Amino acid sequence: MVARGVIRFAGRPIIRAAAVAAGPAEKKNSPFSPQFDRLYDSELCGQKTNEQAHRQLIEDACDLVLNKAGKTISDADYLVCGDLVNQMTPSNFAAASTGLPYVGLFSACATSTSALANAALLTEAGAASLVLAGAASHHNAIERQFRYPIEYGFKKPQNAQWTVTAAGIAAVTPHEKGYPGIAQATVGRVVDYGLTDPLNMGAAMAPAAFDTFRRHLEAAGTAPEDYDVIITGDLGAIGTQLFLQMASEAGYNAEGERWRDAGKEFYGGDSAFFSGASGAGCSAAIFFSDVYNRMIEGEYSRALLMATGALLSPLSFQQGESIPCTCHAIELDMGEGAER
Amino acid sequence: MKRLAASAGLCLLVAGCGAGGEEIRVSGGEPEDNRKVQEILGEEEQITSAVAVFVKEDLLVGVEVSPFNRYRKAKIEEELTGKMEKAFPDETVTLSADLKIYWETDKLEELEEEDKLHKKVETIKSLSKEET
Amino acid sequence: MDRQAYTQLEQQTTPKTPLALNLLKAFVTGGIICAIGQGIMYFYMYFFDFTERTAGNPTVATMIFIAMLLTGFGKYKRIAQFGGAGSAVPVTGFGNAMISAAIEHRTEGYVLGVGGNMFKLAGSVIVFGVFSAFVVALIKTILVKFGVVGW
Repeated sequence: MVARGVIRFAGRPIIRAAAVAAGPAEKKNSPFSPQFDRLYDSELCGQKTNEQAHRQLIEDACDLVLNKAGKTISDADYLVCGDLVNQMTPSNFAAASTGLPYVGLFSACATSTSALANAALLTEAGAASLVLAGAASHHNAIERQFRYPIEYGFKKPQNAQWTVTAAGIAAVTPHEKGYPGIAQATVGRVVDYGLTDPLNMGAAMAPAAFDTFRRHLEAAGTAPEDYDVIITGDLGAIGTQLFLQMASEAGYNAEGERWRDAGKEFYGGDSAFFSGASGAGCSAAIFFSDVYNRMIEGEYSRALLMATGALLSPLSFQQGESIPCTCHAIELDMGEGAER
Repeated sequence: MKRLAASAGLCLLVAGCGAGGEEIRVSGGEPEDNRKVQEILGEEEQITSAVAVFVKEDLLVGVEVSPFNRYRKAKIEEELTGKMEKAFPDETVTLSADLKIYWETDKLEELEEEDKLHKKVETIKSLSKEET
Repeated sequence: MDRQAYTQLEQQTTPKTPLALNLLKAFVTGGIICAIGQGIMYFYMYFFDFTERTAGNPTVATMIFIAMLLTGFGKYKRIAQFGGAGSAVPVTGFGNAMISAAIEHRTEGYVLGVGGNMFKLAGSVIVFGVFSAFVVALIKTILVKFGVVGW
């Protein structure tokens, strides 16, 4: 054990391939859309309901990632994924149609990295040769779950965030050269700073992100400068600002290009999407497209992925509870690793 | 752009508040009666304009109440009806501050045919009694 | 950074609501909606036998119908994002709350989905509308009984 909640992977499992399927708003507005593997022109993705569309996105991402990895469904051993709908039914249905042994995960919007951590553990333990890990969200299905009906008119403040319609799945396999290896994972603690505004989740999640960030760096004995990119999941413009301020007050050099946030960048800073993107699919889509591609191309050799999640339910905030948040970190490294 | 919107808004406000001079039109009765109606209605300050028409035993009056007195429309109607009935004990007075009645009474002046006139009067009377 | 310091920082960072601007926008939006309503009311009065007193009902129905169309075509939420309370307080906001819930839940069937959820948001308007009407009527009745005011 390195430190509490920190796992170092000596075998360094790799992400062999990654794929993203996304919806129409992402196709139109996201600067990352050329890197997504499948884009739909309708939120319904050819299905009858939003929830079926949600499931379709997950299935698509699974198919695409297997194709890219040059594998078939029979090569895969596990499916580890989750979403935000009640009891994660889209993931459950997608798991049913793939027929894979399935672990459903709920870490709200931090599911992409918690799935990677679990997949790496399964691989490290020798229990799997190929694990599909990822997360998904669907704007219409999630907004109705957590907020109001889609067509209901109410004024969203500038600190609100927009749930993305996207699914990102990564294929995790035992170590091979030339792919980003999972070097270390830090399992997040649940941090609650008592914020209660469900339309300002970035601010609620920033302390959790900072907590995990600090623990990860302390355990790894690294500084921010050691990473080519430190990318948070969906803090949005406001949450990112708060997170960076916390980091710089704690003595880290929190300036420069290496600090990114998937939510803030997802729609290219378009103010029509307020503070930025959110949702389990937000971090998954960016981590498994832009960040992954840049690692393969050699632009990044060491990356810290920190997906953040607000663990609230509509019931809990209506009862006046604060918003507990978490953040799981994954360190990706193109190198061989010292332990090998 | 903002200045334009502001000035446009101001113009609308001024135009809206200043519109409509006092105007009282009476028709259909003896010249003396007409003058009497003019006098009674002219004294009322809450009224911005009015139309009155005598049709046989009926006196139909549509009045327009000034904006802030609209909250007391029912009271004003009651008062005026009282005054009218006192002044014209032989006529059946139908008085209303409702815009619809005002419009319809206005139209009465142009109607010539006996049948239609009668019908119209009955309609106006029944409209003025409608509750909801 | 402890909780308190963070809360302070959060309040500084989160953009303030531009209250004056929002009020103005709400005023203009609400005003336009009401002006349209007035126009429809005059339409009913002019072309049909409705008086000022009776034209209210068809006008409200028409306004709700228009709000429903706008909701269905996805325009109402844009108006609301601009106008805020200006679009929520008039009766069109009620129509929007009702139809948006109905659209949202039509995948769960007509009885449990549309029927059961249609008033999910608008229901509280009805509940508190009826309740406050009751309270006002009660107060007025008492005042009339004691001869303070007349009907």
